[in-house]
Amino acid sequence: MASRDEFDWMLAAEIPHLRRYARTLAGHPAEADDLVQDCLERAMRKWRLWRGKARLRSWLFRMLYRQYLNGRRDNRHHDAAVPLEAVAEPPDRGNTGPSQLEIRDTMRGLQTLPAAQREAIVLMAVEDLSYEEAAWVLRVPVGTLRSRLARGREQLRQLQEAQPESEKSAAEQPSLRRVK
Amino acid sequence: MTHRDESSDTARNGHVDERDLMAFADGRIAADSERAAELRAHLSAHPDDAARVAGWQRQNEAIRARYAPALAESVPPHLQPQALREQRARRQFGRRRFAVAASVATLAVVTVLGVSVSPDGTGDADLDRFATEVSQLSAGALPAASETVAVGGAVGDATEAVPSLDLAGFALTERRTVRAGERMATEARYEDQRGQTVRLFVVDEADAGRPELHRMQRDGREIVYWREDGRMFALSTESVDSQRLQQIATATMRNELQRRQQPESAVAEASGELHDAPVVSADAFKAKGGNQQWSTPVESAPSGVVYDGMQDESL
Repeated sequence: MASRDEFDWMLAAEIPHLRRYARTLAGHPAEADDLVQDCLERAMRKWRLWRGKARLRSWLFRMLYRQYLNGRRDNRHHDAAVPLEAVAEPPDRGNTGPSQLEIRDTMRGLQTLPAAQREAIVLMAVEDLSYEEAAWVLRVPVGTLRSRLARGREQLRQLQEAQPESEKSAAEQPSLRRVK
Repeated sequence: MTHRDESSDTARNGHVDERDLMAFADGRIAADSERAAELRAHLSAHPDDAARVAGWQRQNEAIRARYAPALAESVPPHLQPQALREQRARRQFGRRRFAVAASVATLAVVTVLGVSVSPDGTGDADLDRFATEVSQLSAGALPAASETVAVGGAVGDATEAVPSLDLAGFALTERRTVRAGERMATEARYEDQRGQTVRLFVVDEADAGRPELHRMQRDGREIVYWREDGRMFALSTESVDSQRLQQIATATMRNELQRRQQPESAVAEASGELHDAPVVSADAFKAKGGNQQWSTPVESAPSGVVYDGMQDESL
């Protein structure tokens, strides 16, 4: 079993991942960091309960997700949709990755999905978790996770395909204004 | 990749279903595996499935790209484990101070309202006699035994431990053995920041009795006394008012109660024990800001819930 110092050391390495995951859930970066802080404090209180049987990251994510759910329950008016402003715009990577337009469309599409589907899709996308781990983090059976992923992704894909070409090109090119 | 390879789960006699396609899109099937080759062949032959898989992969890439900058940000100092531990320690210190103050105040009120603080006479002849004998000991009386401990001196005999009054704002400055009538008593002297002093007399091997406070006034000296756990206690002062003396007495009773209720291990771990007060010089006590010697919080042991990997519900 790791000592407390070792645990703190391992914990510090997970904080960037925790912050990123919190931002996929919370409505604002400051709220996300509050969530992370609560999670870290809880983890430091309960550190003896982590015995290395699960990945520390999964253990922390599960804890953070539970706190997020508790907070959401306490604040029912909170907009749980994935916030577009929660993270900075990623740098344009040219042809090596998705365009800004694709990113924006995907994020907009995600906001139309039920929270459970959205949370499953985002968790699997951003973190290198197995289906079993992701299901454990989200506290659902693995079959439920797969089902949410399948339904959510398909709905998202159809949404993107259904977007009119005119809208896509309008979004891609800034509108020009005649200047005399 | 640290996640589990889904190849073995999805290999079912060449049959491909949505679960296989999703695992392939998520990169959960090792690219160089036989199953991955089968799936690639399937996608080549089924453009619809290939389009779906490509669509899911683009979704994943877009989401990853969206949140990638967050991973590269530096962690704010207040989220570092060391900072959080320090913050927690400060909070616990504050809570402990409040809890002690509240409990002392509550006990004082209870004492005033409910516990018999009867003047002059308890119906307990032995206890009354002890208080009377204590009242006759002047502050400058010579010790009957040669165990005088000078101010600032070390306490050597742990069997004669006396209660700490730290929580009431008094530090132990001296301890000695005195003769009170026919019995030997341990006398401990305490001093607070303002230089006010109280003396506590303790006699061991007394009869058990109800822990009730009683009061006596003799020659301008206030004495509060009681029985507790087979010992007799008498607090005597000339400089502290009656109400405060009661508060000190209730704090002392509470300390003794806590000491008896705490498991030995917890008592041993607490750095500022409640019962076995170190002797410090009054000057040193004042220099340290008076009542600042709080027990280090004993980290609570994990609850009965045992974390067991994926089955854990204790979070």
